[in-house]
Formats: sequence, structure tokens, C-alpha cells
Amino acid sequence: MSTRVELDNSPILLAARVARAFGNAHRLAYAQITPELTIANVSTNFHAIISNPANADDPVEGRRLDDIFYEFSGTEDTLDMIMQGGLPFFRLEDVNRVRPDGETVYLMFQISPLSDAQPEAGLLLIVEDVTEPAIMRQSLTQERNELRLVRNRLKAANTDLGRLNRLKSFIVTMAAHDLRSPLTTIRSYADILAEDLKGQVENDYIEFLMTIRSQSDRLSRLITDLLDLDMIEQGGLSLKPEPTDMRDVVQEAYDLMAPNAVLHRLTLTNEFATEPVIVNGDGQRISQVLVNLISNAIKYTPEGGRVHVTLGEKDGHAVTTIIDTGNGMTEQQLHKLFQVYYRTEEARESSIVGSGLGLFIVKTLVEAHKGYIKVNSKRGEGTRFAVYIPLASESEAT
Amino acid sequence: MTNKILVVDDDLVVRRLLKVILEADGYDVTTAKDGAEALDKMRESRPDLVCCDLMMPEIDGFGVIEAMRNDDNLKAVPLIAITAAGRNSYIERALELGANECVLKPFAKNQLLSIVSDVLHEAQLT
Amino acid sequence: MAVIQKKICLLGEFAVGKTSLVRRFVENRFDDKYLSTIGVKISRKSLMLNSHTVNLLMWDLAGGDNYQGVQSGYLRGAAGALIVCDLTRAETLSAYERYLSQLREVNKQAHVVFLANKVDLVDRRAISDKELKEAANSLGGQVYLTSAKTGINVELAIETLAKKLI
Repeated sequence: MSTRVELDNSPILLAARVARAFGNAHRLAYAQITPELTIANVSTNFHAIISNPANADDPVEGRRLDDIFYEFSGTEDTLDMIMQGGLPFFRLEDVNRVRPDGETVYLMFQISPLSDAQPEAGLLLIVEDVTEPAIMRQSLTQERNELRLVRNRLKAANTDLGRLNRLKSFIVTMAAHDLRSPLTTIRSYADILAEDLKGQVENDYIEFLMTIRSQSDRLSRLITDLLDLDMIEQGGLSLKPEPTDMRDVVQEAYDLMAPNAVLHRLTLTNEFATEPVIVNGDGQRISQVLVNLISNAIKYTPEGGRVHVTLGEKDGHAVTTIIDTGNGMTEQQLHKLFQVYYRTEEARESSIVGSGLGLFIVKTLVEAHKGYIKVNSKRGEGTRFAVYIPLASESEAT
Repeated sequence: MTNKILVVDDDLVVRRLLKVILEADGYDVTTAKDGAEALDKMRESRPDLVCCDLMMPEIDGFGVIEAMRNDDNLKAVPLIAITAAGRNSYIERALELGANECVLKPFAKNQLLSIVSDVLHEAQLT
Repeated sequence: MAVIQKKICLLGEFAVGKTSLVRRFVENRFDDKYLSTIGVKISRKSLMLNSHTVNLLMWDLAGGDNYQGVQSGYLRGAAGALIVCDLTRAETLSAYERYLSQLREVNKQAHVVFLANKVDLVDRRAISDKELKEAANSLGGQVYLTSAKTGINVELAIETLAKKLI
């Protein structure tokens, strides 16, 4: 690409030669600036590069620099500094300009002394069209910024969720508290009445009172489940593990549930180890697990059926099994069994009361003891739950 | 000699229930509806046992326990904290401040009575 | 009558709405689409202020982030600056201070007004009036709640700054 220059040996010509040598003459334009900051002369491609519609009829020569390039207004001090040798150059990168055709071009402006030896003699303005790399940088920046915005929004949403979760937790705790007081009263008065009226009124009435009592118990277990679930969700499940004889724990849960089995006209039987079965665990929590499983077995076994509870040792674990002769479950039901809020179709349609929280809590509690649960079930034959909790001797060894 | 028990609960129904249960078992029961009234009443007439709810407006159960434990005359009076709170931290704090026992709502009548008699028995031994 | 030309820089984190504020001020229109600016986009607007014609050169600078400041060359010769935050993003408020100190490094005398943009997005507001006032007070400047979308306070804020420049 050839350049027409008015002044031979001018710095403009020299600069243009260098640019040509490096093959980027088509992207570079030059102007010589006088010490008074007017434009002295420009390279031939100057108008094309700066997208100036001006031409020979409207020459830029003789005009003030900041008249043509308002990018330089207010920079007189800086340009003076360059001419006094106080600054090697002044550069403005990626200046957006909208061409008359509406396209945006990006220009780089650099002003330096015409001569390093005589900086006061005037300035050289180099204008480079950097549109191509700038557009690439623009799309990268755009992408990066959009990602950041999404990330920020997610972060904010996360904070909101955390706040909602704490609020939910607060509400659960308060509701539980407010429900428990009236439950206490209902249960206790039913108790007192049943005791005092025994033999004085028809047995049906005593049974009604006992139903009030057992339903209050059920409600209060549900409240406890909700609180436990909340605690698990908040990550606050804390165990107080200590050497515990599983025989005591299983016996306690068994005894607690025995009246329930009578009520449901079931046979409850057991077969417990005769030697101590020591685990390192939270007795109250393990008992909660077993009460839950035994009460489930009783709930889901029809009248006349049998629930059998055993305690033994196997492969370094204390194993408690709860076997019922209930309806059993399908493969599909088994898969979802330990999900939170899961209740089988039948459970939902039957009169059996439950929250769908129990087994989720059971599983969490057992896993907190580094144990696990095995379930076998056959449609029409019954279900067998086995709770494995590592023996104290084993957990010390590991 | 009949043991005197002061029942403190801001809930009238619960207060009444505790009175019914405890009187049926032969105790002499007075009641207070909040921490301030409870402290006034026990300073007027020293009870043998206090059954106190933890969550109450103004002076709550914790405040009552603290005040009692800092009062030379009431220091030795045993106290059973009764709470419907779902948090173990409440129970732990109550015991730390000097409650002798904690009973969770809802409680069974017999469970409450046996704890009351145990705590009274223990206090009278020392 | 003398024509005064004044350079005003817009500074702030990316996507706070600097380009949109200039577009609203100069062209009185708004585009919801986000297009990141790189480098600088200069627009001109003439105002009649106190019987002076003032040519305002609005330097819309690429938004920065924690890692990258503004190129100091852009800030030279600026008579005023608008430092902008986004009311829906709390982190953009703490950037006020960073941009002010970058400005002061090369430009001691420029007048500064703070803008808190996107006031129309009430539901997503993440910065309170109190936090804004405290930030602006501690940095010694006025703060305006603006919306490039609705146009509220945009002209007022920029003209307030322009009056300080003449």
C-alpha cells in the first residue's frame, strides 16, 4: 500500500515506512502536531482510519488537535508535559467511534515527541485501528461479565434461601413449642379421667379416653419428628455416644411398644442375645429408631399377625431385626422407602397415620452411628428390617 | 408433713393441670403466672419444690433459676424445669443454671409424679 | 457567548449501567440489552447552564472489576466524574471508594457525584438508603438514586455536576 506524503523525510514518512515494513500500514495513520497543538500534516490514509468524512474540501491541517479529536480535550497539561520531556507518551486505548455507516470501530491513539532529542519541537500522533482484536476482546468481556452477573445472582438467591431456611426452622421450633403445651393438657386430662372413671362408666368411654390419649401421643411424636427433621436439615444432629448395651435399648423399645401390639391384636415376640451387645452409641436415639420401626411394623400388620424382634451380633455389628407378617412392599416402594416425606400409596389411602418423616429420620440416625439398615420385603408375606450398628470393640479397632 | 410446691407457668391451663395432678397426689400447691410473681411468692413463703416453665414473658424460667440460686434463702430449694422447647440447648442451659431435673412437654402424669417425688426425696436427704 | 467544554468520566463496576445512563442523558432512550463496553465511548451533549453553553464530553469507560482498574490515561483532563453503583448488587457499592482513589491518583481536582442506578428494580434492591448515604458521606460526595430505564434523576444528577464545573 503506497502512501502519499507532502514532506519528504518528515517523521510521518518515516513512521509510514516502518509501518509498511511490518505490514500493518493499512491499520496505522499518523499526524504531525505542532507545539501549539494544531495538526500540521497527516498521512494519506488518515481520513480513512479515523472514519472522518472530511476530505480535501474540509482539511484537518491547521485545525486544533482537540477540535478534530475531542478525545484530547482537557489534556493540554499532559501534552505539555510530553513536550517538556516529562512523559514519554500519552495513550488512549480502545476508543469507540461510530462510523457514519453506523459501525463501531475501535481506535488506539498514541502521542509522543517527534524527536526524543527535541521534545519541544512538536508531537507525533499515531492512530491505530484495533477494531478486529477489540471486537474479540469485547465478546470475551461480555461473556465473562454475563457469567459474573449470573454467579452474583445465584449467590444472592443462595443467601435468600439460607434466610428462608432459618425462618422455616424458627417457625417449626415455635410451632412445636406452641403445640406441645395444649397436647400436654389434653393427654393428661384424658389420663386422669380414664383412671378416675375406670369401673364407674361404660368401658367404651374409657376406650374413647384412651384414644384421645394415644392420638395425642401420635401428634407429639409427629412434632418430635418435625423437630428432628429440622435439626438434621440444619446439620445440627448431635449424638451423645457412650458404651451402651443394646439389650437394654431393645428391651426398652420393645416394652414401650408392647401395649400397642395388644391394642392392634397382634402377637409381639422376641429373641434377644443373652450376652451383652455393646455399641458406642446414643441410647436414646437408637431407642427412637427401634420404637419407630416396631411401631411401623405394628401399624402395617393386619390383626392376628405377628411382629418378631431379635437382637444378635453379626460381622462386628449389633443386629436388631424387626420382622412382621404384614402386607410387604413392592420393589418400587422399597426404593423410595427412606426418602423424606415418602409414604406408600396404601399408607396414604388407608387410615394409618404417619408423616413420612419417620424412616428418613431412622436412616439418618443409624447412619450417624456409622451403621446401616437392610430391608427385605415380599408382597403378601411381610417385611424384615435389620439395623446394623458397629460393636464398640469394632469401632475402636478402626 | 405435706410438701409445698410452687407451680410457675404463663399458660393458665397448664398451671391448672399441674395443680390438679399434684394435689391429687397429696401436695400443697400454689401457682404463679410469671417469673416475677413466682419470686415474690417464694420469698414470702419458701416452698419445698418449684415446678417452673422455661419460656415465659419478662422474667423467664432461666431468670427464675438464676435468681433462686443467687438467693441464700432459696438456694437450696429444688427446681424442676418444664419445657415444650424442641432444643436440647434449653434443657442443657436450665440444668447448668441449677435446675435439678427437666421434664419435657408433653409429659405423662405418672412420669411427672415420679420425678417430683424423686427430686423432693433427694433434696430432703441432703 | 463563550462555549465551555468539559470532560466527565463515568466510573463503576461492569454492568452497573454507565452506558445506559449516558444513552439516557444524551439520546433520551434506553435499551435493556446488556452490551459490555470496552475501552471508552465518548458522547457529547450541549447544555445551557447559567447562560453558558456547556459542551459536556461524557467519557463512558469500560466497567472494572476487582482485578482491573481504569486506565489512567482516560482520567486525565476530566473536570468531573460520575461514580456509579448498581442498587441490585451490594458489591458494587464498595467499589465507589476504589474508583475514587483511582481517579484521585491522576486527577486531584475533578468534581465527583455518586450515582446509585437501577432504582426502578425495587424488588431486587440490595443496598439500603442508609448504606448509600454512609458510603457517599464518608467519600465526601452527593449521591443520587437514578434509573437509566425510567430516566429518573439522570438529568438532575449530571446537571448538578455540570454546574460545579463552570
